[in-house]
Amino acid sequence: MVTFLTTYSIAPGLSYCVHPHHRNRMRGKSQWTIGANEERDVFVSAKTQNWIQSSEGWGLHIVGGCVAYVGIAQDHARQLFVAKFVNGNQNQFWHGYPADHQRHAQDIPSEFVLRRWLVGGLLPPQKIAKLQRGKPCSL
Amino acid sequence: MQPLRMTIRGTYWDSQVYSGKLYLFSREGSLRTIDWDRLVESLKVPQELGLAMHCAFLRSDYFYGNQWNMLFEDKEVKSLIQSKFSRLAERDILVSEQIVGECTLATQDSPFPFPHADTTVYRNVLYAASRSGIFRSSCRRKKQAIIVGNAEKIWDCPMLSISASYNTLALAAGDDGLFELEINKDEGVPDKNAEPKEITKKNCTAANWLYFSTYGSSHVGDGFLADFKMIERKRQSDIARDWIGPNVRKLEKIVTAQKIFLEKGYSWGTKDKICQATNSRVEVVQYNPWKETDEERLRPLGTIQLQPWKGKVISGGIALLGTIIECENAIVVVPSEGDPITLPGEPVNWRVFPRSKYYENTLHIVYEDRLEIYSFNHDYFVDQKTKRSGIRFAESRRGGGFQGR
Repeated sequence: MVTFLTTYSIAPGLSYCVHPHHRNRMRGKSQWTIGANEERDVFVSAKTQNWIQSSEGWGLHIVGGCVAYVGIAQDHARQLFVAKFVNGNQNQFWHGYPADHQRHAQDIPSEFVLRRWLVGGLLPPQKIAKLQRGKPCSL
Repeated sequence: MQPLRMTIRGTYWDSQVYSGKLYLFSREGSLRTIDWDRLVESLKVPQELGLAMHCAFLRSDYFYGNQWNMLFEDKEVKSLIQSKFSRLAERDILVSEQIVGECTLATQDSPFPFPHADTTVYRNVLYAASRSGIFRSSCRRKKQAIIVGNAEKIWDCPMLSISASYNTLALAAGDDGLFELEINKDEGVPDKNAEPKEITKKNCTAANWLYFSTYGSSHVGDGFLADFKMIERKRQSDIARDWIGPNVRKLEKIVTAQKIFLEKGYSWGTKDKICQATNSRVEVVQYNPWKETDEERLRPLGTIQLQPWKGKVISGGIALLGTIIECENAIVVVPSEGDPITLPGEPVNWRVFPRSKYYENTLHIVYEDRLEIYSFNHDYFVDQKTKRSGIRFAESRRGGGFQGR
């Protein structure tokens, strides 16, 4: 049983939990490099923008109008800028982690979300294409 | 010899050229099918450059093969033909919106989830790999305005890259590994009982064919050769003529890039060449699956020294024209002869067509505001047996077996 570091109540029936495995330098787990409050804000922003679908969603950490890194990959070195959120037990008890598009195809955002990012100009097409093909992609 | 460059302005996502059609996927999610033959023919060039123009963009196969050996041994003839390509290369070919419009056969919504990760065309079927899985759509000419048919999902596993040959799709699925899916050669769909076959669980972000073997590239792990053997099934007897089935590919072993190159680095392979990029050099190994011993199958060809990278190596490709290295801020082409050519800028997408028959000398690069089609025409005059950069042209290829046209 995982004990979450912090649980935020986002809305009635909707919670966001900070998962310890992505903040305790655990081997084989990507790690957040932004604060827990910022992690929550990325989730809330993703929810507001409709980037969260039924059981998974993706978010971006936007600072001063630009996308910023959110964490590091499971090698604890490579920087990552996409956050993935999952509805753990399908009970609106969400948690998230820095998504590694090079390692896990499931970490690549859905076409729906990528299209929104592309049309909204949040990421240039070059970056979106690299995300989709598992290519190295830096900001 | 400098390459020719054709520019088509627009905001594109991906491009394919196959059997006289140019397929342009736009960033708005549409697919435009263009009569490529007509478009090239409608670009006015002086009559004396017509042959070069035709070979550069429509018939890359024309100058290959033994039939020209005697002609090209004549230095005057060789020099004359080279000069035609050089004169054409001095012109920047900009395709006007009007010509694109006149040559457009159809514009439709992309039949695939947009944005897709990768596409390939094989036996008149357009395949797409995407986050939602693998899709297929027929691109045979139809009477209706819509050229590319509705897409059919053939597997729902998220996929990063796709490549087709030997009636098989090679599929790169990141940490899930490299898969293969056999397809029916007539319809391009998997047979009823066909299941995707896991070749290896090793991380794989791009898959390409080395004859009947495959090469998996990876940035987080070691690249690898999935070394296959072709078991030829012959007729049982000439008299009975009992057909006992097609040749069968059999996986022999997985050979890691570290074993091939003895060091780490991003690696990729196509046909008879495997490359590994380390610092500012590319190591090249020649692959021959018909040889028995490992030493004969994988023969080091040497090192191609380059200027320091324009950033980290992102991906690579190999075609007859040479080796292509995508760096963070440029694409570097190492031609089979001559100095490397740097094409600055971060591309949205790029592709070469090593399985095609007529477009093997072209490199498509989609930039933010245009598609650039480069045509390289130096390789017709290069000794194919000794070239280090680029795959080798084999005369036997003219006899068929290559599906892309």
